[in-house]
Amino acid sequence: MTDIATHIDEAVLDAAIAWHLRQETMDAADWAAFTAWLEADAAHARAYDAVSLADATRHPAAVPAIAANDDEAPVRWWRRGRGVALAAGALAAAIAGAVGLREAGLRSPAPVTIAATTPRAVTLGDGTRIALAAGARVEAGARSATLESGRATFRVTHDADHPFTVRAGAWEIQDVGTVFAVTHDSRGVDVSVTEGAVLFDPRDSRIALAAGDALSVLPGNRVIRSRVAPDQTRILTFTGQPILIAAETIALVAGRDVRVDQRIAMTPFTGVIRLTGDTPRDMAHLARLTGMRVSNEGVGWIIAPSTDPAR
Amino acid sequence: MRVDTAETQVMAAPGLVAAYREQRAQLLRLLAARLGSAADAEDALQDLWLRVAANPQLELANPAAYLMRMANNLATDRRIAAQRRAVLETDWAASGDVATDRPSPERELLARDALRHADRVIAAMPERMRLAYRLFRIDQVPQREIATRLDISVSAVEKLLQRAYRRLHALADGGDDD
Repeated sequence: MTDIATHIDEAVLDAAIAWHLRQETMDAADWAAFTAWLEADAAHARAYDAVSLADATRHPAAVPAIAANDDEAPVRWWRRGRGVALAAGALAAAIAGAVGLREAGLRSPAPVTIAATTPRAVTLGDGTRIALAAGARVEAGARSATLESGRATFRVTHDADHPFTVRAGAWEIQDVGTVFAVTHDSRGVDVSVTEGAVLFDPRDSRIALAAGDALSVLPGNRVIRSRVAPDQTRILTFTGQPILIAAETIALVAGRDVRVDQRIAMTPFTGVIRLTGDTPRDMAHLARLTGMRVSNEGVGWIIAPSTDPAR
Repeated sequence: MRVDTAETQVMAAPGLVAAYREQRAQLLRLLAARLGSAADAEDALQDLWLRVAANPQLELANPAAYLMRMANNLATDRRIAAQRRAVLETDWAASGDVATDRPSPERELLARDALRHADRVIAAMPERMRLAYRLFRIDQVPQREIATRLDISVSAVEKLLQRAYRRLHALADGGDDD
């Protein structure tokens, strides 16, 4: 898909480069003129995209004050501090029961287990496609699949009489003609719907998730609902929940270890967190939003009180 | 709705906030022009607001221009993310690795390859052009200062940079698949 670089008129390209080069010194009037230039012709915006996107990709901006060695393969070190675990336990007790837990019984005949060491996709007999992220394990049967661990995206061939069911741990997700992604690991189960709709926990709580809806189940059956943008950015809105809950949700969605200093674990947090997939940037944003120190200690992210006011 | 939770939560530099309120319509126009969608523009503006609100007390000579630049950079980030998603979606049919958020080893290799290509293009530039480009883009030296250092006029620096970007664009246009 290289239509990004389709033919661009020479003069337009020169103008786009000129605007790009001037950025640093433009005043408000210049910016108004630039906007007017962009608006004048869709080709202008396209040319400017070609110039500015390539430039940004060639020399990515550094993320200040945060270690950038985050994109290594995930390493399992999951072990929380005792204080954090205790706090989580207390919360779990308070929230448990909001959604009924259901044991998922296996009934599909002769299921096959697919383990992906690198990202791969499989097509089932009914045309349903499952794309597995590296490290994911899926057991696929007839009109059902069990995500044993990792993350997988499902593009389900819909059959109203035989709904396709995905199991993740103790949870079931039933499709209603759909593209959706499921993550299942020690941090919980996460479902995000890109297209169509699914029914989460179809036998008990029956939570309907439509396109753009997402839901995370943290350990202890704590349910956090959120939104997923068309570009897959996850939008988490918190209104007074403990920071610990926000951290656990971020950890689950981003697939990164995120710990909270126990001194602030229960501090209520209100705000909107966006997870774009660029974790260092998302975390820098979180630090600014909360006023906390968010750092990558090499083994995962840690949210701690800001001791140094300059940070 | 969710805009409010954020707007009430964070403290911000009054200068920037005032400028944001004044410039809101202009910012939205720029974002819409870049992103091609009013909804995306609103969304990006919300993102911009969060950044504004989270900023420490900044002393800015021209907060309006600063905000426009922030918005423009934000738009570029979003366009890059959108392109990546589009490529991932297209890859679905072929290899199905849409499920991963991390770049696949193959894709990382391609990206590194593209960077090496860019490095070669930069290395092959005439000396002054290369020097001007490096100073401007990597060391982030203002063009006026580059002019002083190279002992040429500002418009000559502009021309050098313009030609440097033309070369790099030609590379992206022709060689992004190998």
